[in-house]
Amino acid sequence: MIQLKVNGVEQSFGSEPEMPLLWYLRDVLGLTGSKFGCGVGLCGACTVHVNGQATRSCVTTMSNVAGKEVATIESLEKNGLHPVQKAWMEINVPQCGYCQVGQIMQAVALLNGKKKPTDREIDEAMSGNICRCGTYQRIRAAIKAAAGEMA
Amino acid sequence: MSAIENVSRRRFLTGGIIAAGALVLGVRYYRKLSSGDKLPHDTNADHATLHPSVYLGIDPDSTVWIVASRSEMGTTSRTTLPLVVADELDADWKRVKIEQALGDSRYGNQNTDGSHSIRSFYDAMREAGATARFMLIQAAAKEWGVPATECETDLHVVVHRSTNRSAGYGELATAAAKLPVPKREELKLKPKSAWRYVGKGQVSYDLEALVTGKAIYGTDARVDGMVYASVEHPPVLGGKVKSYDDKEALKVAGVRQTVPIDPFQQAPAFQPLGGIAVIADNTWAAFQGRKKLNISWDNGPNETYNSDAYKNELRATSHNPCKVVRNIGDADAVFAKGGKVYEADYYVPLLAHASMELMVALAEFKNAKATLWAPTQNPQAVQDIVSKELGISKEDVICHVTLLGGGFGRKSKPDYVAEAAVLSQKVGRPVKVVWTREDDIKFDYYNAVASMYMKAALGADGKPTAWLQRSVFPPIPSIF
Repeated sequence: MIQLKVNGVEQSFGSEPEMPLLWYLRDVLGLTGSKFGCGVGLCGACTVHVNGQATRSCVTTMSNVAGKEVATIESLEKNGLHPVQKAWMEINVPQCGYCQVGQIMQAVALLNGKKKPTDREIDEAMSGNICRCGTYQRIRAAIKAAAGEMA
Repeated sequence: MSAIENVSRRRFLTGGIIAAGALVLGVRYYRKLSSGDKLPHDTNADHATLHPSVYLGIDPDSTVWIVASRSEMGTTSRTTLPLVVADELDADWKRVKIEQALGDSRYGNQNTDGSHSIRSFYDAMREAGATARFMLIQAAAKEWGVPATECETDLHVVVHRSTNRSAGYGELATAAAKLPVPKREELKLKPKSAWRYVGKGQVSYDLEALVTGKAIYGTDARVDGMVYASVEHPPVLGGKVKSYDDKEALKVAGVRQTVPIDPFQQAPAFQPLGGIAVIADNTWAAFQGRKKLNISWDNGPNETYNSDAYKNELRATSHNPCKVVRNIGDADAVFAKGGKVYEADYYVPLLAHASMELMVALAEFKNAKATLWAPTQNPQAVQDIVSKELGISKEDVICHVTLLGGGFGRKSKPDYVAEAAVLSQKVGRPVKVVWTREDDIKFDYYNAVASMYMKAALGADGKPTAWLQRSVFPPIPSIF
């Protein structure tokens, strides 16, 4: 039996230890905010936080997260939207939006670790998150706007 | 546009406009994953008190329902077209609720492919808004006993300035619904100077849902009792299963059964590609079970197709004179003079669309009706292919359009939706088909290949003096 916390709630999972976290979140818990894009950790659409670190849930197995704390986009709103979500709305970042949950989770992890990232640090942190619509300029602008708010 | 207008008029004239009790559901339509007790093709706009167009309804509580009949995949047309209606209606955007249309021919063309949603539907949206505004003004004028020409609209109200009277759209809806729908010629569209929203900048109606993960894409659709499917398609287009062994697949935890899907007949034409589906309790189990299938294939007539050989054939063809489609001057004479002459071959390979959201669809076949939830660019094409595949009428195919995580034309082809429908019929439960990224790249309706040969001569000033261009490619219908 694998014990873990998802969005602050204790969960136990007695099935396949090799199941990627993504499918546990989406199909078992019904938390569909995190998205399937490639299944091999190359696109970033499935990004969640594991013990605060941005993690590709599609290549992270359930046995990897035993005893750990998982946070998904569904946990981000506390007394309203998270500053990063607000910035995403302010800058009007999304187009189709499919990758944006992963982008936001990646950006939140970046800003939790670094209050004022430089352009280079932003690009490095975000380089594994692909947007097929090409919203990269606005993503960078939104991260800077959120950094100002969170500082 | 006149065709669309006619459809909506006919719908109006044949009734179904003034429902006794207006249904006001405080949910966004695409989140309501059940057909409930309503007629499946109806919208809240259809049931609204004032309903002069298939695109629009107004209820006594002032809610304006606007139907988005085109698919949303990131261009915000789902916001923009309703915004045009709201502008012409002088509606308060905050009191507008957008509903996503089901696949239904009464909306006209819903194939959201070719980048023309705004161009093709702008006038229809203006007219829908202007029609409702006309009727609301008439209703107010009648009630106040003043000429309609003295009345005008302001934000969500009709006003008669000289007597300082005003009435909200909600208050007027019931009276307005009793009036005849005006003819197109009677409508007076707002001048550009009076536009409230168009051209002013407006964010997506779905923006907050997009940044909170609450937006529902095809991949997020869920119904009770659904199972998941992953399909091993024939490795060669047009191939068939000779035999298969699913013993190991069935041992995978969570795998329920395997189901063969018939190979397509003749050209694929959006039919399911055939193969073996693994049905499981979750997506991962379906993927794992699929890896354990042991299938022997008959690769069919395309077995010997080789992209390199085909490329060389196209290239060789481009090196010979082809059908002339444009000829100005005498390029050959210029080339014969010699000087600086350049030649080049260009080749565009098969390209997959590769939308971020994969091909995915949820189907529930029950009581001889198929209900589908899919990120489709073309819900009416879904109705066509599913009705053919399941042997039911098009009216019994109810296609809900979710948000699309990108489409790029790929999702105007409904093969993956038909696959879910066929499986639900065979399995007797709701089935969600999930393609992998590998499936997406391997089984796309590719952008066709093209080979080009170019030759140019440059004059002494370095500018071209002659230009020959030959282009060789299979025609688009060859895909279908």
